[in-house]
Amino acid sequence: MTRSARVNRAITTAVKVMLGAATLLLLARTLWPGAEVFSSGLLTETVLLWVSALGKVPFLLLGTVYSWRNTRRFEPGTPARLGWILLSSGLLCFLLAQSTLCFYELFRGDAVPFPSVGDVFFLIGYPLLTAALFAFLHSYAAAGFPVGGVGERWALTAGTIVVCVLIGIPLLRPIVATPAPALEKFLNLAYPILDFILLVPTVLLLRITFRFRGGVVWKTWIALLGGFLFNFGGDVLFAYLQALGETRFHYLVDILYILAFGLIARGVLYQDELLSD
Amino acid sequence: MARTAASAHCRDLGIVGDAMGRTQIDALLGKLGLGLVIFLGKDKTAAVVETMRRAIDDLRESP
Repeated sequence: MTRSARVNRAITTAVKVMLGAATLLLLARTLWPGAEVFSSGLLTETVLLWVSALGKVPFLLLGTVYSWRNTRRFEPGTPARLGWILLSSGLLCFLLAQSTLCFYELFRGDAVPFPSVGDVFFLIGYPLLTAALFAFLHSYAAAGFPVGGVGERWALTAGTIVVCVLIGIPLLRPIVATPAPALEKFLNLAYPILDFILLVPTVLLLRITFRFRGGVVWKTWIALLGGFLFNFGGDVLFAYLQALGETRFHYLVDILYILAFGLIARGVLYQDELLSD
Repeated sequence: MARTAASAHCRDLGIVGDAMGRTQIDALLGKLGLGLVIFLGKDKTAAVVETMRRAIDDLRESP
């Protein structure tokens, strides 16, 4: 095994441990908020805030660095290279956005303002990630993989749109109805809509990925796409709780984001492992 | 997926059954290389395809 592959494996193990620990801790806090461990001064709200913030940034940093590394290992002109460039850029935007939120929470001790500079990076990041997934889809089709006929792909897209509408109407209605400043309302609507758009290539790629079951390619893509699905869940839940003014379950939103970014990092690391092996 | 893709390529190239000629082998390896390049990049794919080609040549040479 090469040194690069050994380092990759060690980082992958660390990601698994961090992902599991942060998720379990925040889940326990959500389910048993009155437990002694949370009131005895050991796991204070400040500690949990650090866990929740630092449970995201390192994963996004890993995802950005390693997806850029993957980009550099695909020669110019290789079909998947554009997908990796866009994925890396999108993850960089998410990294900057989450770092901004962490700065407010951890170093200024303030509640994160909404909207904030972080939202600018998120709004740039979403189209980049969507374009990345479409670029991967295009490269699969160009390489001759059985991506399904045009009719089949349109049917899958239409099915996804129907699901989005079914989720979107009850989700977006309270957001529209709740009195809020225009920019805040725009962002609360924009995130779920951007997620719905991102969901379309995610579902199309998932359909192809299921045919790779059992191999390294499967591990890479199920982790990456699973990450996008958890991000979708996080955004939907965040928007819904924000509209209802509900704060008790905010750690659940953090858990979904931690799982999202952790899985994306794992997927990117698996691809690096494939290229290093 | 690898098997599905290979079967689809065989069908496109008119390969039926186990027997195939040199031209068909080269065409099939070319098609498989096109798929692998997405996951491995050009250089590594070239090495993998060359390994497959040599393994097939060895099979053909063995009695």
